[in-house]
Amino acid sequence: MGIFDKLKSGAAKVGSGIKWGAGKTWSGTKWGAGKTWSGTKWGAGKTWSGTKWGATKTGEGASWLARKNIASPGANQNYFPSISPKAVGGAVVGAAAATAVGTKKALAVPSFFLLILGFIKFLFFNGGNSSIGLLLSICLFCIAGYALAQKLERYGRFKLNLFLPMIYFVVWYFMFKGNYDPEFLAYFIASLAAITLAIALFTKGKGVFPEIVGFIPAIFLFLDIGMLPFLVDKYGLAVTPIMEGLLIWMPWWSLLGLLTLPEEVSDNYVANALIGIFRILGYLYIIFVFVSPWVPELAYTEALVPGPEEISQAQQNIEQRIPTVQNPAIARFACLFSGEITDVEGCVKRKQTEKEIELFCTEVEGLKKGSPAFDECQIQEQERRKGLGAAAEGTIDQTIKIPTSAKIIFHKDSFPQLTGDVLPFPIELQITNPRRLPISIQPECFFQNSGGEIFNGKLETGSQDKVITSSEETFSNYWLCYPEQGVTLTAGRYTLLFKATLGDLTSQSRLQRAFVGSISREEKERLIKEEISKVITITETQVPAEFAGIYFDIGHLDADPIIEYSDPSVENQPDKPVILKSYIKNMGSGKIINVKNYEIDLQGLTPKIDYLQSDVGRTWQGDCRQGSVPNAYSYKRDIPIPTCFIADFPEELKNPDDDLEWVSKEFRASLKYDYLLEAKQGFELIELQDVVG
Amino acid sequence: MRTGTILLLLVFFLVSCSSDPQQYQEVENYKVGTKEVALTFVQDSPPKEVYQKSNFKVAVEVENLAAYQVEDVTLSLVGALDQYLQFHDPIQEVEGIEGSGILKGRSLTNPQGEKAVVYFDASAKELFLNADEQSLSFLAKVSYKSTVEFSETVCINPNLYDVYDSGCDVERKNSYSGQGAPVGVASMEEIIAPGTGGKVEFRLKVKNKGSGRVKSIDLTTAKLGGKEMRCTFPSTGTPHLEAVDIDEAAVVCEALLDTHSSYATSLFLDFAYDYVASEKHSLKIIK
Repeated sequence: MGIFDKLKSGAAKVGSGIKWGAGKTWSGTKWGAGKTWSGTKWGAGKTWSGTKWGATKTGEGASWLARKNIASPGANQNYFPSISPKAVGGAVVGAAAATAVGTKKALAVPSFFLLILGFIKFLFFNGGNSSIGLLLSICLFCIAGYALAQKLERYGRFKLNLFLPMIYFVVWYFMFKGNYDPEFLAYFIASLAAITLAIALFTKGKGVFPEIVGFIPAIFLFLDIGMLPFLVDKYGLAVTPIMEGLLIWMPWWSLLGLLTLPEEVSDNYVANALIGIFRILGYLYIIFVFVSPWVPELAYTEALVPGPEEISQAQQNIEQRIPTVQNPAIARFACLFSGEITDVEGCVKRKQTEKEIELFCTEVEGLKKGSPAFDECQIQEQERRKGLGAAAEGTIDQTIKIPTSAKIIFHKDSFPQLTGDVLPFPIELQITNPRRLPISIQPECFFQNSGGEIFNGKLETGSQDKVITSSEETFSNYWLCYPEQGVTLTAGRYTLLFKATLGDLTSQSRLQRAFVGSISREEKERLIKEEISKVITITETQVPAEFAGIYFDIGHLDADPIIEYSDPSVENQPDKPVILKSYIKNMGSGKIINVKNYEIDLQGLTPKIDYLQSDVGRTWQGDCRQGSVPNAYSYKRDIPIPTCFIADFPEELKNPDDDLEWVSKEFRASLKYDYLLEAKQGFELIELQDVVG
Repeated sequence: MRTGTILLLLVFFLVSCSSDPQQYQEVENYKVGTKEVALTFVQDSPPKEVYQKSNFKVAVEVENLAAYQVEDVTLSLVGALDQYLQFHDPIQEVEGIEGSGILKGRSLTNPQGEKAVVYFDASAKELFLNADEQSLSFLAKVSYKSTVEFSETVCINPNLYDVYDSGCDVERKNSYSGQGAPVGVASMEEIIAPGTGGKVEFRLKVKNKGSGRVKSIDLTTAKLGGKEMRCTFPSTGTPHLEAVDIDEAAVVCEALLDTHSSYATSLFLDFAYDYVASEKHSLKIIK
């Protein structure tokens, strides 16, 4: 379903939802009836005028939206008449009617708006490059401001100060395109601080609190339009399960609506009880999604704010990276009902992994569910993924200022528009290769019609070679894609698919450790505090922000920078095993299709490899130190590498010199791999007669 | 008239306050306060930024600001990651005037204390991948052995309650700012058990006030009025104490009282200790 189809269906559903809300269902209950109506500003009489205003405005908003879409590249005007502004306006009216519940409870109305509209937005316009989604976010942003303003009644007219930060945010984000230039920000923030100070002086401090509260809708707007995914995409931060939850399963505006709902929303006990249950369920949902504190990776944010288009693109990329797994909330419910309440988090992870393995065995391996081969596949995959269970932590290496990256650009303006056009589809691939590594590029193109049928494409370029090799710092090449001979594209909507296999890419990650020999706990604590913490800075793997990298950990505990030596010949010395664990992480939006070689330089440490070569699977060869994964495409995202113990150290690391007391070491892991980049672009072909006619 | 007299008196006071420094130069007592061996990275050696794949020198100045000679002075550079930075001889003994590993302390004849500069040959390696720069930190660590003396005039009064004894007064507790070394006696308590067969007990608190850490302390000499005294660290029961980092230690000294009247006498303790101090240095390897 194309975006415009989504818009249509979304709008239709909005409209129908509103009718339901405005119609008999709600009026049939005691919620919005009688006195309740008359007293509220959103109710009858005056209420109606307010609602009319809302409807009109919303209608205008929908029209505005339509205009925006027409102006945006790739938009099709034909689709917009079907999104009736009335429908959207009606939606708002209906929702207002549905939520208008009482004079005293007028506070609840905007919160209900947030709750319901937020959920509609979440269901139909979450993520993706949707202008309607963005428009809805802005509407919800305004409603959130109104909802919070109602909570600040005791501040009198000063409650309006709440809208100031919202205006600041809009000005900065939309007018200044989220300019994050430090100089600009200094001026901008200084101006705002001056205004705030003036307000604080004139209002004797009373206006400051509402102003602070005004940042809440701004933060939620930021979160809703994909700030987190952008940070992940920009910095390549690890996509943790929490992050996944936040990205995909969090209706941000509904959350704000829930939080701003008053204690009592109606005089009716049943209604209050229902709302209470609804709220509890909402909170439960949030608790299920938020299983641990906030995303730690946010600590990595540097002042960098993207424009709306960039953010949406980032969100799409992130979502592509996340494999098809169970909704964590559903998985948690399943775990709770199955009685595994002591380790819900472990149960959720297990269920999600099971689902992923099931998909791997059915979709990738093509095995029938329930067959013996399928069972064997599941067991083998579970074994291989055990290493990922104790995955090493890591961060992005900020010293690598220019990572290797690639960009596929469809030159859509030059695409054929009529069925008879014998014109090519120009596609450009840009690669930034700062280390001038020899990269081979093998491109392919395909056409897919709206029915899902795929036609092969034929690529033409200036060179005769099908595979291009480049070691330039910046590489850019054009290809002209034609439908293969004998294939005729009839009128209709198509998707152009471009695939480029980048061969022989390399990546290196690193990790630092301090070897202290055999020392007491006190001595270890002192060394960490006074010396090691001042020198050892890379305690978790640092991986360049490239398409893929090896995350690894060596030591006793996760990210513990100290490695001690326990001499087996000394009696009563506690055994301190040293473990090496690692995995290959796909950090780009494409696919790792072949790991030609992975190698961890162990600096003289001897791994204990105690499994047999016959255990080597079909897709993976090697051990914890080095190996290859020829059929890496079998893995949806991350590729596990076997875990092993370290059996022995070099003498200088076992017993460091007394004067030095400890020795620092940097371990490096290198990866050589092939990577598949894919991009799609929709286009439409029409008959000449349709244009003329 | 009155104003004139006041002005005259003021001028008189001002003139009388100023003096010729040459004429009344005060003899400085070096064995007070907290002083230690100082480490300083010589400016621009190494420079703040070094090019990758280049050789350079690291010069560290070691200056003995304490009032006592330090021995077995070893300087080492610790924590350099050999993929980026290599010190060719990271452990070196400091060469002083008196010989290898010895630096004289501050005294009347040597008011500045002895200093020495130690040079380390170093190489900057290649940067990681296409990194523009790499910040690195390492530590210069100095270890040495030294001593510290504590002397005090104490009052021994076996007849605490004798009102007719016009001798000295016992000061129950005293605090000290230090004895010119990083390690020193911080406080002393005097407890007298009067009567026949009475004894005096000195409870001292030895403290590390320097920036480094004390690895061991030995009480080598303890005398009360020229007579040997029995002193121990209560934690070990011996005059020797060893630990990862001795921040504070109690010392208890005992002596029997053999007179009946009060008298003032000298208490002298000599400690030997092992000390380690370090200084962090950062540099950048650039392209």
